[in-house]
Amino acid sequence: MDVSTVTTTTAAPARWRRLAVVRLLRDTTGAVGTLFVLLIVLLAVFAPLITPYAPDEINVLKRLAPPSAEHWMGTDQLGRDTFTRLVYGTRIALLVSLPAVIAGAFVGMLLGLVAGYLGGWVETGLLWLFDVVRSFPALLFAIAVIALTGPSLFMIVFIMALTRFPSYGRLIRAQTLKIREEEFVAASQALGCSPLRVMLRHILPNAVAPLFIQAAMDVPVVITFEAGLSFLGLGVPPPTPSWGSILREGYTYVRATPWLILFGSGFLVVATLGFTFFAEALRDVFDVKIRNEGAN
Amino acid sequence: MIVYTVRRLLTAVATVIGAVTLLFLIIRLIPGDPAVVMLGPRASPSMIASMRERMMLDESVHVQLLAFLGNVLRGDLGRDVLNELPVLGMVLDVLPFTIVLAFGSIVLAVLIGVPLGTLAAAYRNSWLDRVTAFVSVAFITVPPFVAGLLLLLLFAVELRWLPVSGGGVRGDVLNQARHLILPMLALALTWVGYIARLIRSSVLEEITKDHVRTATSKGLSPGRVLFKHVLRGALIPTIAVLGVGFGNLLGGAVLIEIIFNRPGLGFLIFNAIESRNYPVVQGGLVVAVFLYTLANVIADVSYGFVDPRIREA
Repeated sequence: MDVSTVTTTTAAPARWRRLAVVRLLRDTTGAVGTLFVLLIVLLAVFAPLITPYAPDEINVLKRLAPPSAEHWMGTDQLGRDTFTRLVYGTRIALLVSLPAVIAGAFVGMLLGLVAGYLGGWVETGLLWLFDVVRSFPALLFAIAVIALTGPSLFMIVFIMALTRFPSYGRLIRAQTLKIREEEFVAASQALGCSPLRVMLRHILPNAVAPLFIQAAMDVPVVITFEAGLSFLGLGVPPPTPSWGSILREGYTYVRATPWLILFGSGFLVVATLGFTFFAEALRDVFDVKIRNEGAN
Repeated sequence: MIVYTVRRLLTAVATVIGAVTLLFLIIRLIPGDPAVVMLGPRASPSMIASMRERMMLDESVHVQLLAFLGNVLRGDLGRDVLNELPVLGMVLDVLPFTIVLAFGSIVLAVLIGVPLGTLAAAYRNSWLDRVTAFVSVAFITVPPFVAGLLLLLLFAVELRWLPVSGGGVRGDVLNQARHLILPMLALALTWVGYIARLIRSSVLEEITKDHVRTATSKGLSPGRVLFKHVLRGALIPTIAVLGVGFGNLLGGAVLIEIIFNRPGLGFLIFNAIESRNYPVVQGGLVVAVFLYTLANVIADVSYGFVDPRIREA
């Protein structure tokens, strides 16, 4: 397959994308990953249809109950249905991770592009900024900021985007450095294209493929991160169910019931495993394109 | 090599200064009076006035920043709001616990991960390779705090083989070691997965090199070739990853320390947040950034030491 023409023709991308999907699903881990990701997305979208109770429906008579036909995954300390809360928790996991990854990737992409194309002190300065942000242990940084501002969905997304953008910046900078030397870039410069046009129209479309893979790899990282913050009571405020806060309840009542920890961990692991498998298979599928881009 | 080391150290100093500045600015950028935010709603006017004076809030921002940086460079990280103890002393008091935990986890991860990855490469495409690949991914995807909760549930609560919480009795090494096992294992698992995968791929790459072929044709036993020639080269990329790993472990240790109620930097910072003791939070973060950067420098310099291409870049 001649993938070097992917970004310049209109017929090729559809064919290429179709092939990529087929190859993704043929790979065992890719198929399992895609299945898990689809499952998580479907749970999030259809949560009210799937769950038998409301996520904040309290029933103190049935607190900390073990799994039963009535409550498949038992209940928490307020008698709320664990299965319902875990299913609704997928919404928070996705509501936090997707915007955070998209925002981080977008900002990192632009800064990386500028750093790689302009070079000089702009590049040195931006690389320094990337290093500075990366030198903070992300979780400690998030804890410190959220402790001052108070927990909210926006703040969590903002901090996660902030801690993630340097890795995208470095990635796109490296790609830009490589593509900057290509003949078509020199040609567009010779034709009088502005630096902005060269960057956005000629370099970016050719540099962006690895960004998607990195973004897919980052989703489980951010999901885990949010769960960690919620576990500390610094995530999405209650009573909104989040996997981290359910694990926290499980930890508090660990001697009374193991079910909250067991099922909470199960959901979290299915999500991280699914997205990791999906991202790794995606990387393998895209790999040909990346290699060819580097060689051309 | 000296030039490279000096250059790397200078970059590290610039990074730490940048990070400390960023930390300073974040606190100043948050709306409201920083002294009130730091001390919380229950603070008396006199406490707020004394905090404002100590933080030099009536001076301009750049004077405040320079004073803050100067203090950090002198090792003055401020004083605890509640008992006026120097923050540096408090941090140094608990730091050994975190370092032992992070370092122990890395060592454990190397001890398990390297043989696992080597075996997987040596028996490529066998069932052993496939099991290792699965185990590695499973370990990587289970977040350390979830591993910590599951280990706590199984070994401390259900089986009661190991202690549930604490750092152990001071001076009693055996007791402290027993308290270290579960937190260390929880933190190490992710890195076992990473290292096993990394070693597997670098062993497979190293096997194809000329010097390895020479060693084999010289008549050395496969085991000797593997350990003497292949592993030596394959370990190099791992060194770079370990530096990053150590830094990440410092972050991951926060949750583990809280789950196991274990003294340490993360536990100190988290408790300081709960009691709104912001100088401790700030000082703790400065030390964390310093350690993280230092770990990266050590990794880079040692990587440059074994691989000349790095220091030439």
